[in-house]
Formats: sequence, structure tokens, C-alpha cells
Amino acid sequence: MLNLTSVLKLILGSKKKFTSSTGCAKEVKLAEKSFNGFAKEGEITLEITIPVYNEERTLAVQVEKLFNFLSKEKYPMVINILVADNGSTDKTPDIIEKLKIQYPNLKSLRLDTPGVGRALIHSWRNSNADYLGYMDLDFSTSLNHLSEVIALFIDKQANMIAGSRWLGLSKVENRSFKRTISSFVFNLIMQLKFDDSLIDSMCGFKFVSKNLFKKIDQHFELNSGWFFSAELGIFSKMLGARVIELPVNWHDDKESKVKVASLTLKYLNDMQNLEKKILTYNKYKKKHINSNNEGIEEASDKKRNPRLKKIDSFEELPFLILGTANWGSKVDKETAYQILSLYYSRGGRVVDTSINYPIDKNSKNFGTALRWLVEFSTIFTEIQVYVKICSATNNGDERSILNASYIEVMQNFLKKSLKDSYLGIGVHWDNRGEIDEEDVLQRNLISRLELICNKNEILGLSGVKNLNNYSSLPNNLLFQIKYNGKENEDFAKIKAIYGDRARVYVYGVAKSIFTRNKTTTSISNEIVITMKEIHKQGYSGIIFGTSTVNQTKNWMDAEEEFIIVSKGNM
Amino acid sequence: MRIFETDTLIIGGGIFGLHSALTLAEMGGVIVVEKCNDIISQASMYNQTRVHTGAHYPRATNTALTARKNLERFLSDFDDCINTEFQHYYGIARENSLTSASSFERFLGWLNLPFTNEFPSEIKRDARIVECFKLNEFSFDPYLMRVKYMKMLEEKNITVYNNAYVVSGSLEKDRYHTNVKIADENILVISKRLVNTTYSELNYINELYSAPKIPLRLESARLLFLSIPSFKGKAITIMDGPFLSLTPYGVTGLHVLTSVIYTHKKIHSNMANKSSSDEIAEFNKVNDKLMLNQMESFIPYLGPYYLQASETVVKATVETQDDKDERPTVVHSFAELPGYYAIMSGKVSSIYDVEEYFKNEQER
Repeated sequence: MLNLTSVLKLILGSKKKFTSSTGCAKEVKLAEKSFNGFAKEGEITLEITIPVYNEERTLAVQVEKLFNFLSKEKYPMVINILVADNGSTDKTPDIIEKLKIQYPNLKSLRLDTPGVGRALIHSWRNSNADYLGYMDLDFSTSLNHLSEVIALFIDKQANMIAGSRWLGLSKVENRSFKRTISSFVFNLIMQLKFDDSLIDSMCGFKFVSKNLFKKIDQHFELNSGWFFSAELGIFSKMLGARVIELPVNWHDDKESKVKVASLTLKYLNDMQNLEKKILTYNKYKKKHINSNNEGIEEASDKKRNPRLKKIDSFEELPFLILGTANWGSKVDKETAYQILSLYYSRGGRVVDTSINYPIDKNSKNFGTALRWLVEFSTIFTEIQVYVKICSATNNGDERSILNASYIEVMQNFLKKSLKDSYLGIGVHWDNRGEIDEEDVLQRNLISRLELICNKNEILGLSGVKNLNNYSSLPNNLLFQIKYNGKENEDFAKIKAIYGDRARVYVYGVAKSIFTRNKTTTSISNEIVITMKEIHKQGYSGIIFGTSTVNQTKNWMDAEEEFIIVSKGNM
Repeated sequence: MRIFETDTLIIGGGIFGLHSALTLAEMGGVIVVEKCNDIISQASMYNQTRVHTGAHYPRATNTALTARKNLERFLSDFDDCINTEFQHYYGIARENSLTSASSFERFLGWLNLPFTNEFPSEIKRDARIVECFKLNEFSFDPYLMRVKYMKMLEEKNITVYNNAYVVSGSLEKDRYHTNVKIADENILVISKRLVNTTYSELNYINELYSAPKIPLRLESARLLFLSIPSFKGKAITIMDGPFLSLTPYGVTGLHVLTSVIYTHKKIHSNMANKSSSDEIAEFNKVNDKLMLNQMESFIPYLGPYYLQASETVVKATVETQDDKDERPTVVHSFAELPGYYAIMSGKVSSIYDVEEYFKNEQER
């Protein structure tokens, strides 16, 4: 079993505090008290919809489980159960019909098209109940929490209640580490992106008053799929509803069809649509600012996360820059996404890539890292991508011509693709091969590079053979050189020629350190000291191309240590 | 508001606008306004950068002849901006081609273009390609052209305003009054002559001055930039119909891939007035994969390639009724607007035809 608090700490680092939610826990306790005095039956109704899709194997068992549970409890509300079949193609409809004979109180509806959101909207619109809710059929959330939900509604503590697996009191069982991280990362992105996001957006345990749902339905077009769950929370908050996130115990069903990690990528589109919906609503609100008296309170003003600040000058470049050399080969898309999320959530902004990453000899993979970054930059809008343009492919023997005209085409393309996430370009000569750097330099390259520097854009230089070639460039130069653990000749030359006009980053550090110290995963003092050493040697920072989430975390931790150590020593 | 008086205002900083500027500078002051960051950055930059010999247009004899006539002068004027180091292979498709090997051969003879019958290693005589013609060809480099024009403009003291949008315009007595927005500033340009070289936005500018609309067909066009290390110094075009062309892009070392069926997407004619090219470019839903698949199927022995960049631009052609392939350069002038010229630009080397037009105008 995993302790959630420790996962939070693990990911966020012990020094960082996550969005506080202690208030919720207190409110729950208050509610429990009032519940004892409110045991009045009969008048108020709660209708719980259970969306199902091709559940012939589990449906009968689960419904039986639910009715057994409900028959044992006494609630101050009438509870109706509705099974919403969103387009099952197996025997689910037949089973529902049989169950309805067995349980006369069971309601059902059927839609021909799949979509959890669509089924719920349909069900709730046609319901006469005072409160509406939905649960996943696997009952991953302990049914014991139903009494808390009902108490909170009766006590008028909330208009909307959402189960949350991320609060201090929650217990989560049987959940794989990978899924925990994925779910966490997804929620983190939601919160970074949307001020009103719930702490646990996708928990399949949500309840809302009929009045609030009507208002949401009137102002927004809710998502027809799983993302409905995330939107419900956000829209509730935007309309000023009182939303309580209830810490719930959660038992993960190993057979569950919900795969948060792979879904997260699919949600990119949903997130973009959600942004549009929010914009439209905010415009509407501005227009009708005086008619805001339909019982919807203004949501409180929230400020955006201050960590989302952009890098806008050469001087602000961080010590650690995320590298992507293995994206598309050793690092698959999901892992890349998780690494980036983690880096981003810890305040990391600058990502280094190259048009020919991943570094492998498979020409089919060429450009994968950049493609992913372009895609991810639509979600992590504040990331800043620095792209190297290379003279050779990874096979080494094949080349492009690094002249002004080529730079022009590539820079235009990268600016258009990355939009606000474009940070700068780097010219990467292939110092392995025989390419005639001198010859190509004649083709206006230096004057083209001067243009970049003069526009105050960051210009990278790497794999350079003759460092004197660029001495006329005025400023904003970012050199990348390979770290070899000892005094570097190139570094001394760069400092001598360029002085403060250049910052020098090293790559290949992990290989150098880890092979020396034989520690690959733990946060070791060696890293801390070595980072300090690197800084002492005068380097501006490290490009760290991590391959796992854990490794990324270690680097990030090490950098924090590094900052503290170096501050004390300076 | 600052007011500038000059003889000629040129709207559009593409090659045709800039060349007109240089020509008209012989007759007085010239100001150029360009809506983008840089001159030569739109249609002049994003095309196949061919210096046409005429060989491309077996069905458009006027266009072919004009290209042939201007070829030598263009090559000598812009010798420092041209990639001359490649061989262009024209493969004649067996099916769906509007030209045959024998008539293409006659056509090349008529244009006086030397050729040999030779296949490159990337294609073979097979069920798809009946014959192949190898010619020397040339590709201009847009960036080097920009550098060259900037130098020439500076020498002639011609001011170019970048990021400059024409907001409104009118003819008052015999002077054109044009309001131009440059960053946060509005300027008024008063000029005797006005030259509209905005290509895909020709009709948008015409409308501002109440000039008649020119029948144009606008298309969004997709260009893919590939790095193909083994294909250095070569170009292949499959003639003549719904095929493709893979040609060097200036001196960049890249090849630009275009496909007759997949590159162009016709835009509804009622959009021809729209000001925003970007909006039209958005219209493009071309699948890059289809273009690459077509390339692989027509050029089966092409070495490994890497897609490095892509661009979507708006292309304008003169609306014609027949299936001819003409791409004429036409200078439109209108009786009610003396000194107003709208240039519909065709092939790059026909800048000399525009030059001649303005020189004749002066003599009149």
C-alpha cells in the first residue's frame, strides 16, 4: 500500500506545499455532527447514475453489492439508482432488464452512442431528484462515503461534492506506482492550467445539486466523455458553488478499464476545448456583469501560480535545463510526458532539444522529440524550448548545410510550430565528421546569426571546431560542451574569447558522474557536490537528459540542494 | 501623425514589389510598406524557388517563352543568389499525363534547351514512367535574394517599412493618400503613384482604393522541406498532371516537395477579398503523409529522407476558363485611377517584364 502523503512529498519535494485542503477535512467532521441530529427520512431525493459500457461480466454482481449495501443503511434521503448504458454492444442491456425485475427501484436508460458525459447529461437532465450523483461501477470509492455526502447536502454545506484520492485522509489501496504518478501528474497539469480545477479531477465519485447542474448545463457545454468529470468540478467552482472535496478511501480495481496514463495524452484536446469554453463563459460574464444575480456567486479571485513565470532573458536561464536526447528511443511518449510534467511542476521551464533527436541511428525516429515538444507545448504553454539545428544526421555521415538560408527556413518553422514556447535556436556543428565548417561560414551565416543576437534572442553554439569563428557575435551566446569531469580546454577558450557574452552549459554529466560513483538512482551527496563543482568550475549549468521520472526527480532534488549549499558558501 | 510625400508608394515587399521599387526609383522617391517582419518572406520565399527555363510549362507556351526569354538575364543579375549545381530530371508519366515523351522532346527543342535522355538512380523506366529528360536547372535562394535586395534598396535610398499595414487609402485630386499602421504609429503617405504587389491580397488592397477586382483563384499551398543526403544536386518532376516535384530549395541543402493534387487546396472564391492570409492558410487540411507517400511511390529508389520543416502559404493564380497552365505576370491599370498599378505576379524572372512596363509608361 502506498502512503499518498509520501507520494506527494516524493514528487513535490518536502519543502513545497501543495494546494492546501485541510479545510475540507474539518468541514467533514462538522457535518458528521450535524448528521446525527438530522435523521429525517423521505422528502429529499438523491439519484445516483452509474454509467456502464459493455459490463456484462460484472454488472449483476456489482448491482447486487450496491443494493445489499444500501439496504443495510438508513439515510436521511431517498436514494434512487439509475444504470445508464451508453451504447453497450454486449449483453449488458439484457442484464439490466433482468435486474430491473429483481430490483423494482432500479431505473435505467440507454443511449446508442458511447460517452460517459453524454450518458450523465442525459440522465441528470431528465431527473426530478434534488441531488444528482455518479459513481463508477467498480465502486473503487468506498460506499461508506455516501453517508458523508448525504450529510453534507442535508446540512447545506455544499452544492457539489467530489471524491478525492489526494487528500491527507484518503487511503488508496492496490494502486500501482505508475498509475499513481500518472493520475497525480494529470491532476497537477489540470491545476496548473485551470485555476478552478479540483485536486482530484477524475475521481468517479461526484455529486451535485439539481439547481447547480441546471446552471452548469445552461452556461456550459459539458464534455461527452470521461473529461466530463473534470469539467463538472471546474464549472461548479466558476459558478461560485460551494465545492467540497471529500477525502475518500479508494481501492483500485486491477481490471479497471480506466487507464489514466494513456488517457492523459488523449485529454490534451479536451483541455484545449475546456480553455475555449472558459474563455467564452468569461466573455459572457463580462457582457452580462450586471445580470449576475441568478444565485450564482462570484468565484473568489485567485492568482495564477507564480512559478509559471517565463524566462525572458539570457540571464534568467536556469542551472538545470531538461534534455531530450533519448525522447523517441529509450524514452517513450508517456514517460517523456511525465518527465516534462515533473520538471514543469517543480518550476522547470527550459527544455533543450534538437531537430534530430532522439539520438539513435534509426532514421524513422528522426525529429520525434521535437514533434512531442510541439504537442506538449500546447498544454505546458510556459515551457521554453531551445532547438539545435544540426549539420549532420545521427548517422554522422550525412549532412545538412548550416548556412544562413537554411537557418532562416528552420527558424521560421520552429517559431511557427512552437509559438510562445520558442526560446531560441542553436547551431550544432558535427565535430565528429569531416564537414567543412569554414567553407559554409562564407554563406552569410555569421551575419544571419548576428541578427538573432541583436534581436535579443538566445543563440546556441555547439560542436564548434574553431571557436574563433564566432568572435564577432555580440551577446546572448549559449555554448554547449561535453563534460569530461576535468578541466576543459574548450571552456577556457570560450571564456577567453567571449567572456560574459557567453554562458557555457555542459552535457553528458550524468554519464560522467554516475559511471564514476556507480549510483544510478538515489539522491547521493556525490551529485550534490558534483553540481557544486560544476558551478565552481564556472559553468552556467547542466543539460540533463533523464530517462525516467525517478531520475528526473533526483536531479531536481539535487539542484535544490545545490542552490542551498551554494547560497551558504557564496 | 507623420506625413510622408513621395512619388511612388509600393505596397508589398516581395520580389516584384522591390524590383518595381528599384525601377521606379529612377523616376523619383519611393517608399515600400511590407506587412511582415521581413521583405521576401511570404510568397517570394515560400515557393519552389525555380528559376524557370520554361520546361515546366509544355501546355502554357506564353509562360514558357517568357521564362526562356528572361532566363539568361536573371541568371547573370542574381548569380550570387542561385544554386546552379543541380540536374533536373523530368519524368513523363505513363498514365494521366497531359504531355507525351515525344511532344515534350519537341517542346524542349522549341525552347532551345539542351537535354539528355537519362534516368536518375532514384527512378526507373517502369509501369509509371515512360521517359526521362535531364536538364540543367537553377534554384534561387530567397534569403540571399533578401540580402541582395536590401543592399540595392539601401544604395538607392529607398525606405522599407516592415510590419506596416495599410489601413485605408483614397485618391484625392491626383494624389494617393494611404494610411499605414506601423507598430503603434499611424503614418500618412501621399504619393503620385501607387503600386499594389500584394499577390494574394491584391483584391483586398484594390478594394480600399475602389479599384476593380481582379479575377483570382486563391489556394493554400503546402510545402514540405526534406533533407535527403543522397539526393544532392538532383531534382525530379513528374510531368504533366496530378504528380509531384522534388527540387532543391535555394542553397539550403533542403529539397522542397510539392504535389499537384495534395499541395493545393482551392479556396472558395468568396474568400478572395479576405485580408488575412493566415486565415486562408488555416484552411489547409492537407495531409503531409499523403504527399510523402506519393513521393515514395513515384520515386521508389529515393534514399533516406528527413522531414525538417513545412510551410503553408497562400497562392494566387489568374482565374482562367480553359485547362491551360499559364502563369502570366500582368500589370493592371485602370482609367479612373491614374498612376495606380496592381501587379499580378507570375514567374520570378518576369520582374523584367514589369521593369519594361514601367519604363514604357515613363516614355508615354
